[in-house]
Amino acid sequence: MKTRFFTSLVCLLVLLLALSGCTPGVTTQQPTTTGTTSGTTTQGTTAAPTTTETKPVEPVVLELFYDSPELYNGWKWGEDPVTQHITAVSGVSLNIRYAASRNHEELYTMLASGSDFPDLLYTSSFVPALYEEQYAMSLNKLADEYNPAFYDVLPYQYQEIHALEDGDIYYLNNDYSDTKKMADIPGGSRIVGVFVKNNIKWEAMGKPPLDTLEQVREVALQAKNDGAKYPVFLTSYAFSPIHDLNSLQIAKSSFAGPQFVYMQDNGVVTFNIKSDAYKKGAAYVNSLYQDGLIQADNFTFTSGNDDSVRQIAQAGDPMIVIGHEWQLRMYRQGMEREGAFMPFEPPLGEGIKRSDIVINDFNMSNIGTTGGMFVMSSTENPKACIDFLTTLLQDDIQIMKAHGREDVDFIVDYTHDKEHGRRVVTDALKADLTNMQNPEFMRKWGYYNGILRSMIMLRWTISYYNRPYHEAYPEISDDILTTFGSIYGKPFKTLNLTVKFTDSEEQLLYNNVTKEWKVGEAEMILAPNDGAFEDAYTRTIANMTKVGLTDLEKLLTERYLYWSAIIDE
Amino acid sequence: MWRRAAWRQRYLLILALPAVVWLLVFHYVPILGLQIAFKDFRFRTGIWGSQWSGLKHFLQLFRDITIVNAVRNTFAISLMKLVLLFPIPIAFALLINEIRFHRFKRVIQTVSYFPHFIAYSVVALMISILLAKNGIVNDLLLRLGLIREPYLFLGEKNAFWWIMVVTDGWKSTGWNSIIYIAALTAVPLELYEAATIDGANRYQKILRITLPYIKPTVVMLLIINMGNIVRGASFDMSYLLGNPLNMSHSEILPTYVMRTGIGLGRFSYATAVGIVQSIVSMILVVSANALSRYFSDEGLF
Amino acid sequence: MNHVKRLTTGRLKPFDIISGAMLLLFAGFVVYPFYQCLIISLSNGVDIELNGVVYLWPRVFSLESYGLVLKNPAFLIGTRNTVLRTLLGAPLSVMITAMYAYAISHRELVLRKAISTLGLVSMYFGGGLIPTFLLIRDLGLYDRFEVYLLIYTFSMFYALVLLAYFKGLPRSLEECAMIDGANEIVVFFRIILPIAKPAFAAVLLFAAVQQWNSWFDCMIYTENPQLEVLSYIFAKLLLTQNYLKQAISAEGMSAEELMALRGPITSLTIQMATMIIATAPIICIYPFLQKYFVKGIMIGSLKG
Repeated sequence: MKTRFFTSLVCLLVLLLALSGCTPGVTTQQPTTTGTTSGTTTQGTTAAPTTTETKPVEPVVLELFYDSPELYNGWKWGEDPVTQHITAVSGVSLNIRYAASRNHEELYTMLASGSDFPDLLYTSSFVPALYEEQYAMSLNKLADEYNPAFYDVLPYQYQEIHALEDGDIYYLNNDYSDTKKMADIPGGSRIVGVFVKNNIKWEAMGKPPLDTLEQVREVALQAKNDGAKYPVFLTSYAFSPIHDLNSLQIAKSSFAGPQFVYMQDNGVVTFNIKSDAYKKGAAYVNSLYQDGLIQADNFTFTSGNDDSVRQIAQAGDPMIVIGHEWQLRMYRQGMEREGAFMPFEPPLGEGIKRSDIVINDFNMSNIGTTGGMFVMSSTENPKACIDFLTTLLQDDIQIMKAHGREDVDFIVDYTHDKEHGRRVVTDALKADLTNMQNPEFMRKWGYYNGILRSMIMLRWTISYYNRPYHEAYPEISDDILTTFGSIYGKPFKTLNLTVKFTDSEEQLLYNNVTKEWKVGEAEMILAPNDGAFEDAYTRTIANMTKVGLTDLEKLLTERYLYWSAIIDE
Repeated sequence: MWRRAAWRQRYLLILALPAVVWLLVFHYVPILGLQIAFKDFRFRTGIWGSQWSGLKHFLQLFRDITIVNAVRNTFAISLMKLVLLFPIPIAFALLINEIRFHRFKRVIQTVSYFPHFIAYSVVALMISILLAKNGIVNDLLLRLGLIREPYLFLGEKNAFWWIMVVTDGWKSTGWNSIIYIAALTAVPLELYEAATIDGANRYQKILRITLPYIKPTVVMLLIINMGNIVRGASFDMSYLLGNPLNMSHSEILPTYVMRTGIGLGRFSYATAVGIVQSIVSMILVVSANALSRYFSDEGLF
Repeated sequence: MNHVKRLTTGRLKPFDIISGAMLLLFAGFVVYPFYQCLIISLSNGVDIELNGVVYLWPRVFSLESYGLVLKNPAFLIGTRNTVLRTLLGAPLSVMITAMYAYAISHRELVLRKAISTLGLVSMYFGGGLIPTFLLIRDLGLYDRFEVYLLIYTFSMFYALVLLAYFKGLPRSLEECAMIDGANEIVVFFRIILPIAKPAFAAVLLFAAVQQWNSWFDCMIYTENPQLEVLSYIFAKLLLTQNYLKQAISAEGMSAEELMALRGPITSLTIQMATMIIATAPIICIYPFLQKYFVKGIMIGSLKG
């Protein structure tokens, strides 16, 4: 009886085993070459003219370790027109392996294992071992030996800014702003983080004025009376205090706060949480909460909570959004409908003149951190690697990665901007955007590919063709652009200029300080009364100081002085 | 003399050999590797080739005030589990022992063991689903009118310790009761019979006979658990359910090692933390053993 | 058997009812979370998303999630590896451990003290994660299937359970066989193994559960997707979700990555279906082994 049970059990397991394949991959198996993705299918759809040399039909398959979780279950390189095109041009196809988390354990254990390295490695964080211990190859050496054309596409001043101690560059950064290219895009801008209103409701209300913060409060209160449960919505950057799209950072602008998260007063870096304007901005957001206009967990992103934020966005019909209107689209299917939510001029805090206000778009002034795409020195295909990187840096590929294929994903409309034109998404894409879900959408269009976009995306491409839509955002026409005068005027002044760490202890110090800020921010917004807010504010700064704010500011000041000497403005 | 004995027992020694080799290779060789806590470990040069750096990493450890949180949470979660969960398996065993229907008893017991077999990664996934804003726990509380708005369990730092305790209660009650149930079956029936004749009721019998009888087992297990207090908080749960919102209450020493050590490539530092943790753990185990000797004249080892 | 059974015959008393009810309640507390997951897995995903939780039975019954899970190649690879490591790893570790326990169950064994101390110390003090990792690397075991088997080859806890059992066996059994000319190895395999089946079954179950449920070793010691195990797939699911949902706003995440979040993460019903399939084998097996592991725990702990 019992024996039979066990026998059948074993049989069952053996069956399962047989079903699921043969022996486990005891040795690393080379992936089967993705032969189906030869370039032939793509040529018809690619608009951008590229060099027309003949490439081998069978692409070289490179292994890439992507130090972040897999975003699209099942999407593979070469399944969409954009990656197919890149493969056709560079002769390289990728086999991507993802990490399970963003905690980098796997990256470090892989390095420590000393074997089976991929050809390419992409990490957004700082990994000193990669070049200190020669795991990564000098890109200069690679370019000199295999592909001098690499220098032609390398962004302006990249070599100076991102060179390491030996003067060579080892990685291609994702967030780099090429000042020369930026200058080539006159008038180009995105809409930065700002107050946003629900235009439909606002018109229904009879277009009440929104010039001051108090008027904003009035409108929100009225919306609440009209039935919106929580009329003020903070977008998800709310939980990232050092981001310029962060709600408190935006509120601070209304009090003519310092433009940057790290103030650089006379070359001395301080965190702007200490500024009066930040405190006032935070107090304002807190007062909205005290008025019952913000839902407590609106900005708390935890597992399972995403759905509820989505629900707030969908059902609660926010009247005022402090953040980026674009972000709401994540939560509101159908909000791709332009004009539903519209940014408006920063409302003024008490005693503030419009001319006092400056808002910075950090996207446009960025040198990136120390992470990026590395070529591992163990690669057997160094030439393919550098060819691939060179291809990714090409202008046409950059634009394609950011905006898709011209004439297919978008057309350039010259009606409003006669000289430069403006990118307009095609109707076919727009239709699929609302009806289709990723990764199907991505397979078809190759657009909205976050993985691809996060690999060596230069900042200028984001604003390229991406001029404000005047019909969609009538409020943001030329007026608001004047207000945002600093957008492309002063590159390299923000975040990542100073935060370019060179050892893990610095990184840890930074993590600890911002962690305290993050925690404190929640307490500030959710303070039940003014006294509690005052406490939360003081406590946050005290906690940040306790974990090393002073040391960090000193460090950042040193960095700031160092980088400003290198960069020519 | 012993050489001849060894020859006589060569077969026994051969039987023990694989385990001994395994222990030496997989357990004692890594202990040599602990030296990297006193070195600046580099991947290429390895354990032996890296430069000595003295007590640098230990000093760093004592300077880092963020570790205070991790230490506090480690002890708090373990202590809460110890205090709140320790009596539950005993109560469960007593109840089981009072059940007369054999089949019912068997079924309840079988059911109670089941969570023990579920992996922590699965448990964490389950928790995140059950406690989600639109999950069943919130739905139930809303329907019962106990809360007015869905409660964000995993985002609330003060809830994290309780989630750990309840989860552990769920997972381990049945399993931990096995030993008490066993101890209870060993209570001589004559004692009960005598008590019945004396007119004692069942509560009195439990209080006067059963509990005193299993007291040594209880004391022993209590001491073992106290010794294990550093290891009482589950890495898997804290690692998988921790998030920026509850981090101040979810980070425990092992996740701290993960975050500040391995996640930043500071292998030496991580090892130094591990050593300190081991030492504290050893001290606790040894004192628990001393306690055990004091109470029951018998050590654990 | 039981004193209560013998002493209190006759009708149910309030005491019985209360204790019975409490136990039932507890059983519900234990089973329901899992049951909840089961009915979610059997539900239509869209229905769950729109109409919220189900309590007792799916509103819209659907086996679609199971179909999708069984078609997922990563899941099949995970299943294969988990099954393999359990089938190979658990018996291996039980065998090695039992041989050791049997050897030290002989009081007269030379070096007995040293050999058993070697094991006992291992319960309390070890090299820890990183030195062990470096050892695995140096042995060339990194990213190899063998690492799953070798990491758990020996456990002093199992050894103590088996030791207690072996000590309870009459020595005469062994002596008889020895007189017939058999050596200890033969005795161990021919006589002790069959007799000690209950203890083996218990330890085998412990080892199997450990093998089945481990995920951290997979994350740390392997990188080849072909070597992923089931429980790692869960951990990954959760970590990815955490990443997507909380880290949305983390500093490192660019607007471009955010854009990518339009894609759905693995839906609730599929997650639950994966979970049910992965836990089913152990849940189906353990009741049959109950009497063994109960005994195993008892003999293991009575020594302690």
